[in-house]
Amino acid sequence: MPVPPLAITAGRRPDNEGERALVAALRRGDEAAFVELVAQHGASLLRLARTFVRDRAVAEEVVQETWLAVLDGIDRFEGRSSLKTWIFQILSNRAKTRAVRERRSAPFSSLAGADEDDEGAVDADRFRPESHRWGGHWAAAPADWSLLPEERLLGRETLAHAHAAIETLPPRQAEVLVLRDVEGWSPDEVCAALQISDGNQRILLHRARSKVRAALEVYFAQGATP
Amino acid sequence: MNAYKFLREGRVGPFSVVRWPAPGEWLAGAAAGGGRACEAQVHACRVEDLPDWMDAELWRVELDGDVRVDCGKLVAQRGRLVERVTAWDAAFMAAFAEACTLRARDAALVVLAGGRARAALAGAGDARQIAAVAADGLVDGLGPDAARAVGYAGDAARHVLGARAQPATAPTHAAVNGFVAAHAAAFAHDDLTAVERERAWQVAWIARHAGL
Amino acid sequence: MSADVEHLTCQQFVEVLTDYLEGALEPGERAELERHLVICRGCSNYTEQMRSTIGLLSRLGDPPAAEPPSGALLAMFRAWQAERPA
Repeated sequence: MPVPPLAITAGRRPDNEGERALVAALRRGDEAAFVELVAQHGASLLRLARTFVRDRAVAEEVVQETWLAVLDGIDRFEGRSSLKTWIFQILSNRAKTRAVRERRSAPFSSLAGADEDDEGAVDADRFRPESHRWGGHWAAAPADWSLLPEERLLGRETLAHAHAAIETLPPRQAEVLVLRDVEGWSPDEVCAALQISDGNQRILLHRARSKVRAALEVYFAQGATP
Repeated sequence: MNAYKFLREGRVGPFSVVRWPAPGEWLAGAAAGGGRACEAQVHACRVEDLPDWMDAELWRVELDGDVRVDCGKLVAQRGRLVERVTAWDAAFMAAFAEACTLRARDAALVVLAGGRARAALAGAGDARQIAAVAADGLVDGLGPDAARAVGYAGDAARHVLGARAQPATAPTHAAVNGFVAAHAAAFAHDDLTAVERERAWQVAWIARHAGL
Repeated sequence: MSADVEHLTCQQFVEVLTDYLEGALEPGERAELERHLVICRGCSNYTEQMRSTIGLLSRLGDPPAAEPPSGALLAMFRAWQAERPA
């Protein structure tokens, strides 16, 4: 099985010409431009909304509110950030407001503060204790996923488990993970959109990726022959 | 300066996962880095770096451009494979792993004060025998330092047996045993400089036996 | 006997892997991590697992077939459009 490249390539390059034309057309009330914008960003916005509010129906409402706010604000959009970043920031504000309102009936685990974890990327009990001659090394080595059949590794059930794992992440970790690894945004774009430092972005990404990997590890282990 | 390169089976870069072209054809840094701009370099080894980078294939390489030493390896703008070091194969790696096991055994003898465990270990001349001694009940009564030292030798011995049983795993076992032997020496002498001495011994062993 | 050989443990490796994949390590740190990968099948498998995880996540973002905006969304647009000054 071929090994994927080491680096994950950055997201799509922003198309400034195309963006300017789209914004101009929207300002003229051009419906085709709106349809194009929705086609470009609609699915991403829904995915992102769902990192803030679990309920799909509520997420769809948030996205609808976002589009209205985009239209209402299109005359004021100065083009200093990319259109994508600007739309995202609107969504983010709407979604967080909505999430606070929804939280009154939300499960305990979705409450804020879950971000401040200092657990390691991997459970400490996976490593030999310090007193052992190989202290800090794997006690039980991780499995070789290259031995998994490709249909299993990349199949729909696996994707569903990855999606479910994202839903259990603390909101800030989910945000970064979805923007970087699902939506393919570059580190710079994420830092600009979330107003966080590169180091901070990387820590959140690290914790999020570690949790998703761990969840997938449990899932794959369940199917393994004893 | 003679330069060498370890590759995975099929001339594949261990970290970049880029396939190197056939001998004679240049590979430029940008392509060799697997796409990351900051990796626009080709990496290679001096002979003294070999124990740190072991993999399935060993090649003599030629480097071009501004060749520098950086963190235990050579760095250049481009490189090309010259010829395969044919002595370097699974059997060779297993032999190296066994040589390291004997060194770990010697380090354990430094730690063991005397008694039957020490005698048994001193009489163990190959990986199989060392593994047997390490697994033997008579090591159970040893103090923590002695047990640890014998443990290193036993671990190394088991890696040799693993490499012989499954030749595809030989690169990992060889590399690990180089590390284990260096670690065992440092522990036995309570001296971090022993690591460099042990590595130097390993380099000499490889150079002599592979005809480098 | 205390000698703690200066080397990266697996427990440390899993904490710096993200920095490595992001290209955020200094050359010396990167060399140290790569040396560890050579001798550690466990961390090699872990790295492969992490790469697979990232690959999977990117597939979650695969664009679906282009869907036209919902009726409600279009209605909202047309209401907004109607209010625009000519």
